[in-house]
Amino acid sequence: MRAIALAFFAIAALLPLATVLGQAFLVEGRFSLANFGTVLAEARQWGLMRNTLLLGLGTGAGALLLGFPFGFLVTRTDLPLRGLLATLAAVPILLPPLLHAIAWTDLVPIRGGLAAVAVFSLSTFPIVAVFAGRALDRVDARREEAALLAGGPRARARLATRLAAPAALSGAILALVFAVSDFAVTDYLSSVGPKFNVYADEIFTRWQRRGSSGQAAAAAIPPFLLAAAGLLAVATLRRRRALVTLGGDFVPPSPVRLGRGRGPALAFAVLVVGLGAIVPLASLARTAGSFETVRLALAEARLDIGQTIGSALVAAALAAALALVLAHAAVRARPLAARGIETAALLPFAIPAVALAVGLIRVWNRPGAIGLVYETRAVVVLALLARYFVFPFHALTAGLAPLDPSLEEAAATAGVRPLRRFLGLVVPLARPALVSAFLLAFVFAVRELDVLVLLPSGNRSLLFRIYNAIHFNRPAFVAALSLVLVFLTVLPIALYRLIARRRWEVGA
Amino acid sequence: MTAPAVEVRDARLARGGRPVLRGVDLDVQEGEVVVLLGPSGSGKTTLLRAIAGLEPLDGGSVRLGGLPASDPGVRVPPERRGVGMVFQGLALWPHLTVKGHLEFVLKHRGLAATERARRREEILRRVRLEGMEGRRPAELSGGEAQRLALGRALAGDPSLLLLDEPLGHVDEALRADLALELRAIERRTAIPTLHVTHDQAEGLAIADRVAVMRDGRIEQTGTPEEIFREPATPFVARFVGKWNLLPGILQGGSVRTPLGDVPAPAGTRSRVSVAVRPESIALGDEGAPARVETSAFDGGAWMLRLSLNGAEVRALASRPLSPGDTVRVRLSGEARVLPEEG
Repeated sequence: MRAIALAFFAIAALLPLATVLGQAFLVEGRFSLANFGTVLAEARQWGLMRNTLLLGLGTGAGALLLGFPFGFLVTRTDLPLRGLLATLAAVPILLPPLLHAIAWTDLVPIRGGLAAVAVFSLSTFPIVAVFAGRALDRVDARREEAALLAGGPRARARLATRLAAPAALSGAILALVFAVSDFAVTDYLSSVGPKFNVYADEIFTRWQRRGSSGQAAAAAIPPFLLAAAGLLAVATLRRRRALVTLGGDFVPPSPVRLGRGRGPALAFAVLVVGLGAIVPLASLARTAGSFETVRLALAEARLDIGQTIGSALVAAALAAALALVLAHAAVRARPLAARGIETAALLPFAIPAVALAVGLIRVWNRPGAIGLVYETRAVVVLALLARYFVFPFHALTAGLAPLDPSLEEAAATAGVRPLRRFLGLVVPLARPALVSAFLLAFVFAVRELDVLVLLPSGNRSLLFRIYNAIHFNRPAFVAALSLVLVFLTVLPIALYRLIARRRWEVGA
Repeated sequence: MTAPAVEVRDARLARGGRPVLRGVDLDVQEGEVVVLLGPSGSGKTTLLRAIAGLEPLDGGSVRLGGLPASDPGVRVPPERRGVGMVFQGLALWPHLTVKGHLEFVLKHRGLAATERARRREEILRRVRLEGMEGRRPAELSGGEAQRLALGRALAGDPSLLLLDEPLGHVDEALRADLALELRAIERRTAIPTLHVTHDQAEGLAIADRVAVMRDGRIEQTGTPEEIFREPATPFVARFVGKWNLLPGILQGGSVRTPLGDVPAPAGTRSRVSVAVRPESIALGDEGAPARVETSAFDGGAWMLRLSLNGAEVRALASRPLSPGDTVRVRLSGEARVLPEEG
């Protein structure tokens, strides 16, 4: 089963990645560094490099500055309305960054690099908040109390910050990767006023306008190396999670009393949620104008919505199933093999999405039976799977890590065979993580644009329809469809939270 | 002659370059309960896991019922070794009921539903869990959980039982009772058993034979009484019998110790360790002076920690003494001359 899963993942995700990276070194079918010569010789490359770094680092810093204190406030303090604020904070990440950009530019004339950094920071701060919040919530109360006795509240805060820092930093790096691999936001924000070009745009341009996959691939190498280094750092930080308690003998920490700081803290949290969720949604609603516009947009884009949901469901189910097998292999493997699987899982996310699309085109756009994949929505499913596999994989490795291997060993020594052990023990015990993994993959698949923009069969996706409508200057239609897309991403999460809470209440 | 239930020969295993098993030889005969006793980190659990097929050996072999299970070029997977294992912490499946635990194991054996039900009832009766079929692990007491883990191991119809600290999770107060109950179940099933523990009382109560492990080697094997009364090494004396170990020097036909002279057996080396039980040290008006370091009530008597010519010695007293008091001590019972501790 593991071998089949690995082979499938290799064909679906690693082969397009390897193909596009290989394209960078090929000219007319022969090894050559000419693509790099052509791409890097241009003086504007340094501008692209500078802008990409500014965008990535700025986004990482912005997400950290907003997300870390927000995560702390809603998980570890007696902040009023913290449950509601935590729920609302899921909206910014569910909203595609392009929609943040559209919503904000409808309100204020922001353009250029700073605007892009602000959009990505507001869009990705929930990643840091969730990572930091989870880590802060897993600091054993006795460790904190020991720090409190040793040096008072400041020592306790220092300890908690130190223990949660790797998780928060991981979130910030993911935010950085999201920013540097996205082409639509900078493209949109540069459409009027000063240009702020980054590598992701460059790949798109090289492929779309100049028709050179070699040059597009060469332009993808710098952001790929930057993102891969960041993601490998995340993997290292995840391995150091032992700083917080994963299970077993654990005493949950008590909430920190904010006292007189409650007012300012609440103002900060409301401001962050307001800027990340409420203002963009309100702006989109204002631009859409009326419910009738939304109804008409729904009717017009019915087919796109159906195909988006269909592809996302299949891709998410496939990704979650594949991730379960590979995450299980990773948590049970020896360290070196585990690192190999983790690295393989994250690399397809490190390549800018448009470059991954180039790889998919090169692999599947062929005559004969293989070409069927490219001509049908199968290539869309593969694209979504390859692009976002790392998220269900991480959700499942986190969910499986606390499961004691002896649970499976007990079945093995009792004579139960591997497949039945997997289906009878691993699957039910990982069910909550499996649902989270599926939802993560589904939501990211629904809000995807970049990897689909170059694939003809991906052109019937909701965000692509919105992207097209922007260029046809239909702001009300764009805003109305954006609201539909937000609804599609928020609804499953909200339903899941509701069901999970009800089950918890019944169980309690 | 029947082959032993398990035969381990020259088992070697290293982890991260650190040797964990250093050439272990061990047999468990049919119907026998062997207890593997040793401190944490001595390699007991690793040996058990290697026998179960959960850890590959670097060298040596394991034969089960005379058939090779781990040999150069042979590695039978755990599910085909016919062993049942009770894990440290029990490893019960939180999502399954008592019945679910047994069913999960019984189903893979391809038994018909009626036969499964018969086997299930039999196991539930054997481990005294009748009427608890619908409970999940969280709803069981420590003893019930331990019996469920044993029942699950028995459901696979094993020809060898491996128990890894099965009472490790149980309170001290319950442990002695459960150890006896475990022994009764082991006797009833008559399945050869290898039982790992670091608790001497538990080990000695259960075993037909005890193997004491230290640093990846078996230091001594014997009946519980032999191990307790005739330790072969200073480590076994200290770990199992709580003997005092005193330095001894051969002088003529006897060994000189801070407590007095002890007859030297033939072949005694010039420097040895002399093992003396606390109850073999008498306090009175005669003997060597010793200073009381601590005095703690130990159930029936007061356990004194004494400083005797620079050596630390434990002795029993009928009343408490204060730290700093001086007492006179002499040897009043058995002493064993052992090789000097390496």
